[in-house]
Order: sequence, then structure tokens, then C-alpha cells
Amino acid sequence: MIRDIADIRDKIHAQYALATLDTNVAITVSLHNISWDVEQKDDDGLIDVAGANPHRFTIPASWIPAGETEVLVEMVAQVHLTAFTPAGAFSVNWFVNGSVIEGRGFTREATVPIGGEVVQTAFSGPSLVEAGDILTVVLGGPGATGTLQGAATGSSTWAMVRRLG
Amino acid sequence: MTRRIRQIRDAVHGVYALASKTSNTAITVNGHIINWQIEVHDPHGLIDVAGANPSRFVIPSGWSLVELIALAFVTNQSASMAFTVEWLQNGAATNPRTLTREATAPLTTGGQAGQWVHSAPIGVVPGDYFQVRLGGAGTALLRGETNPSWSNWAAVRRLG
Repeated sequence: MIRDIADIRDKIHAQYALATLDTNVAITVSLHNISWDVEQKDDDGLIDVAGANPHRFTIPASWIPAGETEVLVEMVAQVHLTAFTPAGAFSVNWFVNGSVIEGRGFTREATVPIGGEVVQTAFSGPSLVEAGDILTVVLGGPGATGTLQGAATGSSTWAMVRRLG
Repeated sequence: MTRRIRQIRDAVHGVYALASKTSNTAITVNGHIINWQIEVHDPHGLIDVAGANPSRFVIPSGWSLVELIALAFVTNQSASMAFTVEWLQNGAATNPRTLTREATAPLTTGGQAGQWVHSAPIGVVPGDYFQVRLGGAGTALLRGETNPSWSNWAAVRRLG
């Protein structure tokens, strides 16, 4: 392979931010924003886990191509929840600026049993965003409680925002 | 499309290995590591289905970052269970772990379950190997067919 083409590939795929939990957190599931503990990779400063808003991925101006106002990204999140009670539907959603992305970034699990355990992935598909847009992972459920899992070896609750454009 | 653009596109998106199953296998679900039966796409030699370790995708020289995708599909379960699928890196759960768990547990006896798992980017060194492990209970048929929608498959894609 020609060296500069390999360099292009590496640069394209290297632009992402990945955050994880490293503690278990007891939560009320309904409309819960996940706050992240660890910036596994965040070269462009999308998330600040030590700041006032550790639940936010913020699109940096440096991601916007010259002469344009938007950039194409994709978001993936995996959520590991235990002790989910009472029974009901469970959903994992990517929100942009506080609203769900219509038709995307949403998965829904049904009939999780009392005391149940679930690992669920939400994938946005390619999405156009602007500098300053705020991306968050929001859980939905029928007012249930549960425990977000982060303490196991290698967090099983994580989220990633990757630049595509 | 110019040849140059095609080269770049292929270098960005076209470097991956994909393996699948071609026949059904009766398994004990919990802890089962899938052995692949056909190299659907493997120009860089990550997997050798005819060799001693047909479950392993082995990272070749020069690769430093990958993502992992797999679909596991079973039928004819002998027991109710919560069905899980996860990638192992060098025999251990990856970090961040990529386990997924079917939420409609317990899946009913005699039923079927399909579950996919997609990792975050994972740093690797040459020689690292990846496998797909199942969790659950009882026995089942691990599906492998010519109809790809009924087959188990797994892919390792190079990102860097």
C-alpha cells in the first residue's frame, strides 16, 4: 500500500472520542443522562468528565470542514444495566441538544424482567451536526430503577462519537 | 472515479476479515467459542478455518486499531436463558467489553435468538487474537447456512 494512503486511513479513523464508566451507579432509569467517568480517548476535547457536564459530548469547531457549517458523525453507545425493576421497556437513546434524533440513535428493549440485566447498544447511523452541538446518551424506562455497570474489568458501559466527514 | 480515489477508498474501508458458518452445530451454549467454517473475505490472513484455531482472528503486522462486529444466532434452545455474545481479546473480555445480552430473558425453550455485538475501536498489536464467545444455558443449534440471514458471522475491520 502506498504510504500516504495508509496515513489517510489512519487519520480518518483516529478522530473519535470514547468515554466509559468505571464505577457502578444506582439510577432512576427514566430520562437518565449518563455521566461518564473516564475519557478513554478524546484528542479533540469533546468531553470533560471532571467538568460541570460530564454527560456531554460537544462537537468541536475543529471538526467542521473549512467553508462548511456541518460535519458528518456517527455515535455508538453500549449500556449495561442490572437490577432493573419493575419490569418494563428499556431504551437507549442518543439525544442532540436535548432531543432525540428522529428515526435514528434509538433502540428499545421490551419486557425486561424484574431484577433483570440487559446490555443494549444504540447506533445513530451517519448524522450531520454543527459545532457546539451537544450529544448525550439518555435512558428511558417506566420510572424504573437500576444499576449502571462500570466497575467490571473493562467497562461495559461506554459511548463513542466518531467523525465521518 | 479516478484510480487514486479508489485506492484511498479501499484503504479506508476495504481492509477487513469476515468469517462465517456454513452448517449447523449442536452446542452447549454457555461458554461456547464459535469455530468459523468459511473465510468469506480474508486477504490479509487473519483467520485459517482449516487450521488448528478456526475460532481465532489473528492481527497481522502493521495493524494498530480495529473494530469488531459479530452476529450470533441460535435455535432449538433446550432451556430458557439470557443469551449473551462477547468478543474475547487473547482469551479475555475486551476493554471496553463488547458483551451484549438479550434482554427478553428468559428466552423460551425451543425458541431462537439472534444477537449482534459491535465494539468501540480497540488498540491492538500484531499477534493479538480475537474470538466470539456465547453465554446462556442448556444446548442449542448454532446456525450456519447458505442463507446469510440465518448464519453466524464475525468481522474484524482495520481502522489504523
